[in-house]
Amino acid sequence: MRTILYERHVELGAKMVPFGGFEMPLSYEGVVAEHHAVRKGCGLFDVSHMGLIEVKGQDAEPFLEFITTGHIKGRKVGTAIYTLMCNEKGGSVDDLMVYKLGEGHFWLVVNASNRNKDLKHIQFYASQYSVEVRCLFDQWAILALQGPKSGEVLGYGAPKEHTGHFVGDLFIAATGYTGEKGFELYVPKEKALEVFDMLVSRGAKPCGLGARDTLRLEMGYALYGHELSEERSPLMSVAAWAVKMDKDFLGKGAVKELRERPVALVVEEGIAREGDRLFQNNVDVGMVTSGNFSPTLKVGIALGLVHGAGPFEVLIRGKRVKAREVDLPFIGNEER
Amino acid sequence: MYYTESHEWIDALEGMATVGVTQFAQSELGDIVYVELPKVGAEVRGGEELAVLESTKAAADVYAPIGGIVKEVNMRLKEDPGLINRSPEGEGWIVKIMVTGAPDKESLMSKKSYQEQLKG
Repeated sequence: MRTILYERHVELGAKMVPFGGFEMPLSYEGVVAEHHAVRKGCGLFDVSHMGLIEVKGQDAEPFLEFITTGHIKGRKVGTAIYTLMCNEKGGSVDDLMVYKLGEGHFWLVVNASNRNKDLKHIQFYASQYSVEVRCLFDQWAILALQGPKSGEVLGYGAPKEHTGHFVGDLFIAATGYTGEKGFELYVPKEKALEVFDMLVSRGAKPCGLGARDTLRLEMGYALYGHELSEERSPLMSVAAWAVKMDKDFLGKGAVKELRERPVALVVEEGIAREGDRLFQNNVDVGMVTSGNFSPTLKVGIALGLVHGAGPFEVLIRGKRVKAREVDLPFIGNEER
Repeated sequence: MYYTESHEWIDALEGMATVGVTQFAQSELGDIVYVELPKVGAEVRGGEELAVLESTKAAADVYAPIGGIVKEVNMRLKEDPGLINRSPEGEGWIVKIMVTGAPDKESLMSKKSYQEQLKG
């Protein structure tokens, strides 16, 4: 499948790769250049492959309060919430954004790779509530404008952090997956090219999924399929903070079975990758869930799941390399 | 110049020879962020791993086009791995070896054959 901006990406020289059933730009100029552009200036990502789902009705709020792990009840109109949905076994179905557009009116934005699964999950549980679930997949283009200069590039209509509102027929939210100031724009399909081109002409640099991954990894944000999965409790992940144990939610009973803990590691030499085993005192204690080169720190960084305390070594291509455990985020604790 | 199917180049088949990866290879790999170089004095057989290039996507092995002894490694790549992307067939050379092995005519190509192979 292709997003509405596919042709433009190809014209701009993007390397296209399959992701979540879509052909998406991996990079244009290069992952590292695009990464630095977001950290220092302004980058623009096409994330229209994500799944947009509308939930409306008098039970919309209590329904979402039940099906997500977040505090949805009583939030103000305009609030944007990062949260998760669990299955009955206490594993993660997906992580997602919930936007309260109005009383009894919400938009959910889910990962591209899970969109069909999530829709079925939501529809199944919604049948017990007085709500209408509408699939809006591919009806809106979704653009992520991220970086310290993103406010300037956007120009006007910027919402306050962690909120979203309509500006004309665009929905703009001050949210993102990079750790920088930024916005996510929901654009009616017919206007997608126009808005994309306009933002680029105002100084936004087109960025692909490669940079999107190194940016989120430096912040220690979870990526479904790596840090989150159907088999593992979200409490064993870097997204554990988004699981609100002070309320009831689908899967809450099972979610408490902690076995492993998430860990953030800086690798002494080389680059650790997803699946690399972690050792403590010669014992295999876990594995890397995401690993890559950090363009900001210029060193290998990794997120993992382990039993117990360190110090840890990571097995990289047959060689044991020391890894230093650090607090998240990897960056932002020193000069940027 | 000789080329391999795995996108390495070597500029001689006897005496001192310089080894690197091709323009095609660096373009496929994307930004190279880390290079694992062999130790000077290390002996490699033709087809064995000589170095490792890490990009943001994955690690890629550089194979010795011919057997030899490592005499020099490009230390600039430690600080500036992107040099391989910018100049893969020039300043981004990876290793210099003293050739000791016999060339395997099956696996070494001329520039023309290599380029034809890329198209096909």
